[in-house]
Amino acid sequence: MSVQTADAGLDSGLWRGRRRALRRNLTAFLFLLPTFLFLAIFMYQPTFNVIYHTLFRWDGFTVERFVGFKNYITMVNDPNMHIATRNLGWFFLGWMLQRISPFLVAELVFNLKRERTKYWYRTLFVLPMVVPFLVTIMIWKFIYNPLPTIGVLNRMLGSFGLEEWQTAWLSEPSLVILALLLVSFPWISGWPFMIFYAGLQQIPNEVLDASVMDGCNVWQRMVRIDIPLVVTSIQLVAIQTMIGIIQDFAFVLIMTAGGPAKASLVPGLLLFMAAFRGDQMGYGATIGVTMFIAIFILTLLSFRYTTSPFARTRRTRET
Amino acid sequence: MTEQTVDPSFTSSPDAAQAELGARFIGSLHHAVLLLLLFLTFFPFFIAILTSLKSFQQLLVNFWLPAFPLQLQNYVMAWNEIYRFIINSSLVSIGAVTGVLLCASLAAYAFARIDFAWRDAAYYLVLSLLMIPAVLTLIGRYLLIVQFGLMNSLWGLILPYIAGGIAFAVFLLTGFFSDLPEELFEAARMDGGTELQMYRLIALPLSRPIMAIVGLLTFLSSWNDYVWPLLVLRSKEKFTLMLGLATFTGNSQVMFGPLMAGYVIASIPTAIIIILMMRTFAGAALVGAFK
Repeated sequence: MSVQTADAGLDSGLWRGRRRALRRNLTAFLFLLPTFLFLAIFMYQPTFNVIYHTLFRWDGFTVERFVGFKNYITMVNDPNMHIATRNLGWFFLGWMLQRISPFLVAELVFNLKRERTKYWYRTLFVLPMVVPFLVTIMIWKFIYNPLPTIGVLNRMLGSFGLEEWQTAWLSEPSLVILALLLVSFPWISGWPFMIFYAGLQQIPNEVLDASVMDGCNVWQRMVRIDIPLVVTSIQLVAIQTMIGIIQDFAFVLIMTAGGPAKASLVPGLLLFMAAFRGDQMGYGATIGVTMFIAIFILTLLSFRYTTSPFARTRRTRET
Repeated sequence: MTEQTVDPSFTSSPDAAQAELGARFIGSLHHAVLLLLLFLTFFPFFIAILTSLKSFQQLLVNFWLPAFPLQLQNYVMAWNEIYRFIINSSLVSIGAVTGVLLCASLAAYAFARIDFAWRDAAYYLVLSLLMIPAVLTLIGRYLLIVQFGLMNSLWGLILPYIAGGIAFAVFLLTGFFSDLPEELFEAARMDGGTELQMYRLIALPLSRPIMAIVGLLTFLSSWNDYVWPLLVLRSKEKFTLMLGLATFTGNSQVMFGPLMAGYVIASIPTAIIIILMMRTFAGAALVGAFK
């Protein structure tokens, strides 16, 4: 990086070119310095630190001893991990469906005739996005409140004369996952809705007109034209959702903390408990690395067996 | 609300009249379904707002409808409890947004506009971080914060948030900067402009909409985060809004009014920022990005 080497006084074209290249490299280096400082300290270092220490019995500060792959073996045999993985399977199914279902609502709005009506529905469906996630969760905690006079759901059942159905929704092992999946019913989350609607808007008008000419009904058009043409948007949402589902545990942590007795435990929460409530940093790190590998493989697979969701973005960028 | 404007009695044949009736029925069913979905979507928020204006006795007696007199003091109570959290969250988010925009725009300018050695390798080094899930770095970052003595400090949030937001910001901004017309930079280079001047006087002014989007994304992710503040912050006067809300019980089990009032107040800052962004230049760019 030193500029002095070019100071030899030789003013030939070669030297001038090299000096300019050096100056360019130095400028670029200075432009990149703050970014790489942050990334080195808070991204690369923690990542490698965590991966390395999965091979140790480790409380985070003092390495107790090298254990090889014992942490991984413990994880595979950990009954908590089995429960957490099974729960994650249910959450995965439910949340995947939830995040894809706004497609139907986007179709409903898209098939309205007047632009003005479409605009208002669209705005209203996207509006709940302004409410912070945590606020929505806390309101749903209020809806599920176990008291028959306070919990919105219990109170509703009471006013329909269904007192025997009233229950502590989040403390019932057989109900807790279903209750968690029902949160924010009817699940019209603004982000997927926006992406799907934008996808539908990209379908050329000629195609839609032609389908009307050919006497397609709405259902045929949706299955034969709309879904194949917006499949990239659907895939984009599916990948984002998949990554989110595997790693996010804040929702379960706030709603039930994995309870009652582990009935809603998920792997992310198990990591959190092991690392920060049980001082088993090495074991927590092992779960983290496993989740990373799972996410990585699933992402690669979904790229391999479908068209790239970024192909369109790339194409529009080049034009 | 319905689209049909032709009265069925005007149509000549009975078949056509029947078809018209059918279409009208489908049309109203269509709206009925959409209105029901809207109602269900907004129902929890209506209940929260209603409850925020009631005392506990009013809530027990009259659950579903507004009760008078409105208990506006619930909002005063909630505000006194959470205004400090709002200030902390604002400090954190402003710090994170400033840091991400500054670092990422400098780096993106270098990637897009300066031809330097190892450029592609350095770019992929940044992009590869998009594959690293936050949950993997959680433990490592926590240990760093402990070692740096940043526990229970807002800096312990701001610095990791900047690092966490940079990769995606560099990705977006590099794409944008490399689409800027080369002639602008050529002209500036002829006049002896340095790269820093070109960054400041050409690239930055032209990229306001994309900077606004990056800023908005960083703002929302830092504002809405819960797990990281839970790990780093210990004392209540340092709590961010999300952490504060989760622990905020309105001082007692039965104070649902102030509790809900707190949730309503907590939604206002994000609502204002998102709506402002939608209405100004960023809205146009956002629409463009999704069309």
